[in-house]
Amino acid sequence: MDLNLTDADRTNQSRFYAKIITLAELQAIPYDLPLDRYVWLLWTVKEACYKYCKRLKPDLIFAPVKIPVTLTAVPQKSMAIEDAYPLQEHNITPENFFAGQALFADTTLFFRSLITNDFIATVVADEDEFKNVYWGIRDVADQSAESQSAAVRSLALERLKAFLPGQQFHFNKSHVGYPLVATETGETNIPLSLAHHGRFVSYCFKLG
Amino acid sequence: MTRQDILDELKKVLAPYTTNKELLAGVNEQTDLLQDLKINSANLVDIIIDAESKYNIEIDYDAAEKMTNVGSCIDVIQERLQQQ
Repeated sequence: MDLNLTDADRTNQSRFYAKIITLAELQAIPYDLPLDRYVWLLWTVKEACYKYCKRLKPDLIFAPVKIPVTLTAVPQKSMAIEDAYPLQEHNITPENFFAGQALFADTTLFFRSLITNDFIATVVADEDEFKNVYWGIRDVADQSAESQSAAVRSLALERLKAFLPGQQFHFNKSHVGYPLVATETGETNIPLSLAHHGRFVSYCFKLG
Repeated sequence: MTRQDILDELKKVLAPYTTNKELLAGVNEQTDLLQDLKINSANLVDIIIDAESKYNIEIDYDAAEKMTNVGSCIDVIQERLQQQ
């Protein structure tokens, strides 16, 4: 979520945010998080949950208010955050990170999110330790859909190859639209998610 | 309003959120908002809000979640207009 493409005034209107967050979620807003940032944080969580579950149940429809989200404390060590984004270069501190869980399609999922002045990025997993889950976020100069798509695919491929050298990966698309990781011998079982919005692209995959 | 009337106005609602203006001009009821018009999912609520203002209706999320292609958008809008 490129925050530069959002309108805080519009997001803060109840007719807008009530289509994304519930009253219970509204009442649970952290005291030091602006409402618009909270709304879009929960949006990214809910959309990530939808994308995760849609791989398992292709007929699912995205209904944000039907995906309850709860924030929890961020574990000190939970996943490979360090490689995801140049944290020191952008003065990212622990306060930029958020964690919690969500419930969708009878599935409890856990999330980790990074909020900067420019973007919100969220990853979900079915266990709270995020073992073998890797993600990356980059800003891109060309914001055309084609260029964003190519950029995020290139980044994800580069990272995959770093973990699994010698494999010739490529991506296909499922009949419902999520990416599939394949090699010359066929599809793998590596779950992969790609996202792009405005200046930012991101990927996430799980190995093993 | 006829379905064509609704469609003509709906194109104006969708226009700010898609760069594929050629496809938008030639949409049909099967045109998917995300897959075909490449509308970012982050703009779906904007589209609902704008449609509410355009047609002077209210779209709850049970109805909004059905708005995945142009035809289903027209269905929802037409249903809401008829309830007025």
